[in-house]
Amino acid sequence: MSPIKKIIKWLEERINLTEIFSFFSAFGLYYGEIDTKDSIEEALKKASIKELPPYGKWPHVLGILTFLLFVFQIITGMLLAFYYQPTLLSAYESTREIIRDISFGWLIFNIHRWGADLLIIILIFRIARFFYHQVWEKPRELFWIIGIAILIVSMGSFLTGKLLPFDQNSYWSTVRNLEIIEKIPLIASIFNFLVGGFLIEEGTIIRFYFLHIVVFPLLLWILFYLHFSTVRRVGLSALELKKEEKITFYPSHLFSLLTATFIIIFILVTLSVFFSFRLMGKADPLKTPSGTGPSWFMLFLIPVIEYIPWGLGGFLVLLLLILLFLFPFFGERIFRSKTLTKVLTFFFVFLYLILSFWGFRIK
Amino acid sequence: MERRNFLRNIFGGTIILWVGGIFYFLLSYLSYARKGKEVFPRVKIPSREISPSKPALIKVGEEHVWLIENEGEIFSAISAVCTHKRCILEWDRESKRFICPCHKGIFDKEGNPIFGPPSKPLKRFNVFKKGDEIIVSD
Repeated sequence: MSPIKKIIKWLEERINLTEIFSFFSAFGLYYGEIDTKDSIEEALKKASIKELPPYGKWPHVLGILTFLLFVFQIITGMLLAFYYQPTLLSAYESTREIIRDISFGWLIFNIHRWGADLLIIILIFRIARFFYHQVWEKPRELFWIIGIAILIVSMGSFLTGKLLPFDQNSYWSTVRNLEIIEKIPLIASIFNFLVGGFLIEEGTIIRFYFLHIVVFPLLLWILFYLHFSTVRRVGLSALELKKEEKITFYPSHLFSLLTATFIIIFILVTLSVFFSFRLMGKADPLKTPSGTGPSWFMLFLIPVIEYIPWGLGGFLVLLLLILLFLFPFFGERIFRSKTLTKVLTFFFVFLYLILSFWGFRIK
Repeated sequence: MERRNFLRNIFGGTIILWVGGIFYFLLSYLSYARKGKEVFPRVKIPSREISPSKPALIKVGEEHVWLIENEGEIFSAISAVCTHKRCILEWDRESKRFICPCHKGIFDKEGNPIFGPPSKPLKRFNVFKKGDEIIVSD
């Protein structure tokens, strides 16, 4: 008996390894039920030869890509938290120390920042794909709702993290973001309750930091867990694919998972090396630098909020957000035709891009 | 070598390189010392702040140091960190000895261990007087 098997046997007599494996598999490692009474070896064997539906591979990997990116954010975020200090006096200095003095600090910082951008991009793509393939029809209502919730919480995580380096860019960008949030009725109250005002001072940094490293990641873990459980219950979307295509977890699914991981690492490192972010000098509330605007995914809100009079723009945004959440419950009655849905997807994406571009021009 | 073995070695080697690289960069990231260390730390103390009856506990670089004035304006600067368990030593003026509060180790005024658990002598620092200032350096 090999030493690894001996260790596993020793452990197995004292702790239920299969149960631990089933917990990890709840995060997309493996689809299907696991009998916790089996030994870990049997469970792994069953899992590896389990036949998966044909959609468990490229290009239907946006979900697992999101989760991988989220895990990278957690890892790089933990590394950054070793050196970052969330106070008015030393937030900027400690970020500069990470980027300038600590070996590979610049790489970790940049991977964290680019990872955040990619995460939001992929989440928006995902929602568009759900809409396109009608992944909100019965019984996938919860799947859609949780997907939207993941997008919103990730945006919150992005926006709170944006302030933390506390250089000119992050400070003024946050000021502009808060201007937008202040105009959206319910969201503004929630923000006010969580952070206590729209001014940026010592308390804001600490609360943003707490939201960024504890509250939002915890929410995201829970949401991802729920998301994967809905997948396990209802399956993914019914795609028009050939029936005879069947894959097993090992090797095909595991192989695509590893490939996706390596591609993501490759993209993140390449972006970080060739397009690294620079700090713009310590935040100065008395000096506005030219050319800073809200974060890129907030841009489309600017024309809506500024050009619709009497503050109705904010109400419109709130209404749209609520409709987005409740969409599965009335969508079926309106979007009966599949072609119409597909055309509308392109229309909405086009509208989003146009509004974003407009917002970019007047930011 | 068979083709299968060759491929397996290449694959294993790549994995080991990846893991090794990631570990290398994690360790070098985490092993950063918080404050930049001075190469030759030196400290200036005004000479009126110190007298034979009043020694001073000062910090040179990252070390705590006892600065003591003996008769005839002869200064000595001796590490205040016990060589046994790194407690901070106390200066006993009557007996002119360093006493460790943790395990009752005793050093003489030159820093040599004379009683108790410590076996290594204390580190001595360079000290000289220049005008009104006493300069202590490593």
